[in-house]
Amino acid sequence: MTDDNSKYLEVFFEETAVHLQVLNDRVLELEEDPTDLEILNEIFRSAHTLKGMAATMGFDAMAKLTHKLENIFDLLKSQTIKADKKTIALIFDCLDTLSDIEADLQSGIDDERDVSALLDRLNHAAEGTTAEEEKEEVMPAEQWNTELQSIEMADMEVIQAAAAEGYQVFSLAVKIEDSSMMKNARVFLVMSKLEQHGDILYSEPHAEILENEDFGSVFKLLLLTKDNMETIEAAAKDNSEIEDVLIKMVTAEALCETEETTAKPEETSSIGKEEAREPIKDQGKAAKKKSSSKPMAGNHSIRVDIQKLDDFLNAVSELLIHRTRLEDLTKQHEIFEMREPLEQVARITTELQDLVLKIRLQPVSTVMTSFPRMVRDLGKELGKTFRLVIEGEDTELDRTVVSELGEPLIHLLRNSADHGIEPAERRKELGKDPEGLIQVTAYQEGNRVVLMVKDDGKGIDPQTIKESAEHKGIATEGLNEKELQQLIFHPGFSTAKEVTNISGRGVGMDVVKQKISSLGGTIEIISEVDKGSIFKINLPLTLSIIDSLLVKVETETFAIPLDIIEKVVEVQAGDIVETYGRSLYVREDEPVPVIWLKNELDLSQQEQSIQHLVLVQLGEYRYALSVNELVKQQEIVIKKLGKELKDVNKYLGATVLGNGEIVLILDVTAIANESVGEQHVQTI
Amino acid sequence: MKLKGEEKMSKKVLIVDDAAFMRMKLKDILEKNGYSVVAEAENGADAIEKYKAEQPDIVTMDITMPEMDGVEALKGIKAVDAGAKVVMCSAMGQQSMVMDAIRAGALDFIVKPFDSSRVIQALDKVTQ
Repeated sequence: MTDDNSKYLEVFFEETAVHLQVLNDRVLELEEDPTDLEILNEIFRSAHTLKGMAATMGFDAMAKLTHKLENIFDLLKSQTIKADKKTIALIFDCLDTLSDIEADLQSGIDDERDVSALLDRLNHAAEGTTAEEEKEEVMPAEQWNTELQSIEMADMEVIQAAAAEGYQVFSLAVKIEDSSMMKNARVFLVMSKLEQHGDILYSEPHAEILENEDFGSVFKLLLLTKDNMETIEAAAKDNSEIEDVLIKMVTAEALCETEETTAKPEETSSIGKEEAREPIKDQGKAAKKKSSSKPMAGNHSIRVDIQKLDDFLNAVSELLIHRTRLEDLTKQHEIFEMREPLEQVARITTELQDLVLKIRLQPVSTVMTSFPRMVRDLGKELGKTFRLVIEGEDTELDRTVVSELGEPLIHLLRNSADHGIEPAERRKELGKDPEGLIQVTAYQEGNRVVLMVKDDGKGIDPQTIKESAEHKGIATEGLNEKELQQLIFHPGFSTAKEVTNISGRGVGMDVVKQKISSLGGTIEIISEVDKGSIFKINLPLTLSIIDSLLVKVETETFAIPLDIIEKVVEVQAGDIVETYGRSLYVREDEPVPVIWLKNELDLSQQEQSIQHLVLVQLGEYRYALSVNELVKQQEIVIKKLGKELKDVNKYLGATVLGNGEIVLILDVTAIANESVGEQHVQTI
Repeated sequence: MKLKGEEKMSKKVLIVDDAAFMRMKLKDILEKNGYSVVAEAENGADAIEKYKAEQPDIVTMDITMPEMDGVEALKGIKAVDAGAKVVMCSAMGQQSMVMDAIRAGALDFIVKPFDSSRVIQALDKVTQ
């Protein structure tokens, strides 16, 4: 392949990923129902497309592997071989290797992976059947002339009769380009063209041999026609990939001189007549099942580079900042004429903003596609039986959030499979279904999206947590059972007695919590011993533009995301009580822990008296943030902090106000974690 | 090459393939050689609609596609316009489908992986 393919790489990877996903999904289904022809057809199509793409890109290992794999699928379709455990396992191994090759290619490593072992296994699986590669027969040397090897009496009679009616007979030799592919179809094409001018009486080699492509590059035929030699020669030459054509007029007498043989009558023009293959018939059925296959982009959609969307969002964000600035100025200078046009600008920017946010939404299914396969593998690895149910995978979130969700969700799934679901015997003892159930559910709730990973396993015992926590030096005094369970998110906490290959990879639940928190979300656990656990993640729809409350702590202005704020209260004497080293706001039904922002944010202690508490709700927990002053409510654009500030974890990002002032946005979850954690440690 | 392109007066092509990657690749080859790709379709049904709308001079038709395969789409297009010029795009191992297509009126076929000169040769033949 001499063409430069590098510019197609992106699309290639994108589509390869889709096809590998389809293959993984459908093979999983096939494992359940090994004879479903619809599934097999879809599998076959994907493998086939993949092969074509890999070959076009010149990725040999990938092309070879998909080619053999396609072969296997073909054999499965024709029920020549069975989709037994061994075959399925082999197919999955191939798919894994294909994914590995794809990953290699993505990171710029050429596909030099050794796939010979897999190819051997694939050959072995196809053994006993006629593998199409294995038919390199010795072909008779081809002679480049119009002399025919054998001709029948019947043909000669036809020729004689035809001549009497004004027909002529030409003998043609056609040479196909050596490198031409699918020569049999090429022959068929040439013959079809010639048949528009007359009848083909005879072909050499025989139709069957031509059909099976058991010939070199030359084939010869006799054509009965009323057209002249030039027309016929042109008709034969007027095909692509034909190197040369020889033509000669023949008479019955001349033919008689060649030796007579006993070849059976052949109806040359019937090549492939019996071959109307099944896939065509099955299309109708496949089309009906459309809903369950991968969603195809509709006719009215286009593909857009993610970078362009990001740029678009940035531009809209800038617009928003300057609009706010204009509004501020108009107010300051009391320019009434500006008001009306500014309102229009405001309306349009809001529309634009809605639009760009909607455009960026992506269904959470994007990160969930690998889950069924992963859960299956986990089951095999752990020797447990459980099934995965995914619900609400159409729920949409900003693409930045979606792309970051995969890792924490996988961690939770592994955790459920490893620590949650009990072995089948234990489940039977408890009177549970021996097959465990892991559910991933997503749904939208107002401006936020809830994701739940739920299992019906052994749950989390608060007492075990308590012991473990105390052992690790984490204070547990005064914590109720629910609060004890939340301790699994405490840094460095792990209840697994031994580190397993599955979930004990040195990353704990605290990492999951950190990740979710960096996405502006919260995570909590609801668990009951022997009943199961639910990890509930609550995320904002978008990370880019949010409503916020601007507050002053000491002399600095900060933004707090509005959607977590429950209410704001003015502080009166006696509202805050100190107990166990914790400050509690006691004017609510239940005391709310107070977080002293000026301490948490390391601001100078000028001892300005705090005026207000901002009550926030994080999952099931409430906190009161102490602030000196409320500034105003405002829509802000979140700008992420750069990599240089990656250790600064108390802020979701920063924003620019209308007057150009830069304001930090508080990551209340992170602050609350740290604050509460510290107070616990202090009380030991 | 350029001169040849001008002679063709930019023949209008409809590319049909379910893989965007293949469409891109083919489009590139064609446009470099003076063809003008007026529409792309990703399945057979879409192809028939686009054919009606764009009236292209030539169609490149993939065989294996979801919803409606290339041979069915070819028949559909032929039903709309008996003179439609359709070149099939096939991968190895699809002989019988290609033959079905030829029987249904496909004028030529090209085999994946595409070789630019072969593709152009085939299209030039068909449109001359």
